[in-house]
Amino acid sequence: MTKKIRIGIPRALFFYDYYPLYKTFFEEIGCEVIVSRKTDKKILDAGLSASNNELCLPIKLLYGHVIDLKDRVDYIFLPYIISTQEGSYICPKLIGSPDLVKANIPIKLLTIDVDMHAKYSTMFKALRDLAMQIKPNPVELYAAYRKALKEYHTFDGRIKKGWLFEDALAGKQQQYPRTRTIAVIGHTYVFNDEYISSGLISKLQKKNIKVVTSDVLTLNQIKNILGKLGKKTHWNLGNRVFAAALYYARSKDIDGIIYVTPFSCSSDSLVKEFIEAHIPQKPFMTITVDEHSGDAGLVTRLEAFLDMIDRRGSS
Amino acid sequence: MEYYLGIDVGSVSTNVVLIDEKNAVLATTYIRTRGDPLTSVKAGLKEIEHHLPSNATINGVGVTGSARYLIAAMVGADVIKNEITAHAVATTHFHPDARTIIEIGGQDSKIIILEHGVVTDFAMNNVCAAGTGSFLDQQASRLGIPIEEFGNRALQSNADVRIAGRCTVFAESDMIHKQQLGYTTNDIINGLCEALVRNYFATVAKGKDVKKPVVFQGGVAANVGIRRAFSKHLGHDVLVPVHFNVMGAIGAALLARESHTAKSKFKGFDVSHHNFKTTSFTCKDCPNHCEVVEFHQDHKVIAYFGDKCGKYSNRISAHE
Repeated sequence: MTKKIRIGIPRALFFYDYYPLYKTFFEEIGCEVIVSRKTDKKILDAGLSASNNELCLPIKLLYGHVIDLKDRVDYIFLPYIISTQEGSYICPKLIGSPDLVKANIPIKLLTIDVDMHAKYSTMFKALRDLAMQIKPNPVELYAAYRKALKEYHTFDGRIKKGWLFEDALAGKQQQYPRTRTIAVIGHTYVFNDEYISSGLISKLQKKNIKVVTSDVLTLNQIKNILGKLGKKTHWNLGNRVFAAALYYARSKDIDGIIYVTPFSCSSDSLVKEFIEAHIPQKPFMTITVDEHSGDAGLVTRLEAFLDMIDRRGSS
Repeated sequence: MEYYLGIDVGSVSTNVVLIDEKNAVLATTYIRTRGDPLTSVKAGLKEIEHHLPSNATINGVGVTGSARYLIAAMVGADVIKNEITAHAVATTHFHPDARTIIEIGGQDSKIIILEHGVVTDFAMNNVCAAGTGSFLDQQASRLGIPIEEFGNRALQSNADVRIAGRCTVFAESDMIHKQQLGYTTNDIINGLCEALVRNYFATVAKGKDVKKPVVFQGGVAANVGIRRAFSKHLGHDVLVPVHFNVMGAIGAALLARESHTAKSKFKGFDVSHHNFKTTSFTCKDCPNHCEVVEFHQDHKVIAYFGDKCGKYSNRISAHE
């Protein structure tokens, strides 16, 4: 038996949105899928030294994850995700991230263009064209894609029901005792990354707070919420965050909203202004995460935020 | 009589206050931290001890400020609180009707919005320390003027000299330029005060509804030039509490009194006779490579900080 082709998927950027889809697809066509380690200091340091200083933190992290994988896989899979919803786009740095990485790190890149405007058919075509080189059998490829899509919908269904990423991936929802509910909004690749978000979600859970995130909204919900406002941003991810802020601001079950944004994210700097202007009634706080290791600033803000909610509630 | 201690250890100053069971402030100290919180807390405690009546017992200790966890382990604290809550508690104690708190300390500046004595919103400066006490300190030393005189010098000016306050680096080049153009030092100092206030409203208080009464506190509130600049910007006076520079410590003491239950964990004033030191090492058990701080009292390790997994820090709490 020939050795399986090893495909590396970096635990960065859209990993947190589409991993089950890609994993299942590549496994179904007979490849072995290897994911990079969870972010740690070594990965961050490797990413910082390999990347250009002008890039945002999440892309620097992508470099670190690629470096972690490059010597143990045959290919690195990184899609060009151009748009996930009609009329708006992914940030240009993210779209071009596979090229950025390839320019600095010698890797064999497997990639596809994803410009789906909410349709998955283009994703299939792209994956099929890519996979034809590995397994030139269109029927089997289609079957693999159907299975991958099913896995993805199961995963995404859990996310939309409010499961947290790790729970949705494991297929088991942990029960957390809850005193309050806080919505954590932002990019999936920031708040789901335990290291870079200084464990914000687990810090909240340790205080018996239930956490919900901005991924629960479907594309249709985002469209409806922002449609009524007559105002949306140019970016897919920005729209998701903005819509989530409005959605949670209206919800009585939510005690407060925390917006986590990576230092030097240009689209977030505008989305933040949009949000602040539109949700005056709900306790809201922005936390900027960067490459510094100290989390004293975060702890102070978080404690003050929770005190504020508690004292507000008891008055 | 029963007494409560509040300790606020910030980047620039260390404050210790003593209050009694009726919340009256009996003694306050304001000591420069100079990068060594352990020594400054010892000095603060010594000073407070002199004011303590002979039959007094300390029923509770509250700590706040950026070094609060370290100092809590050192003195044995009952309450550990963040600066925002501590400041808000102290302010509403003296000014129950306050709606806005402007607090400017050594390295951070805050705005706290209150409604009926409850914090409803707050913000702190982000990464940059422009527009804080350190910024003024730096500019004062550049001009060769003691920081204590800074405010009065500003009051002597009536000219509008505009200095870029967004960044200390730009402020410096702007200042040198204005000096070369022949503006007086007083006018430049006044320009700096206004630049700081402008920067505060452009970054920290951005988008917040600043309602009257406004209370201005923190070390920088000592500066009458800044006070005037705030009043000018807001169009009305700002209140400066009597104990404006130790409000965090007072808040911590009030919180210690409020939550007082059983016996205090306070180790006693003789902690100042013990030898405290910190050492650090890099834990290499996992790729995170945390920098772990070991905190020693005499020859015993009494606390660990900085380990993300809690392997060391849990070791101590398990012993207790």
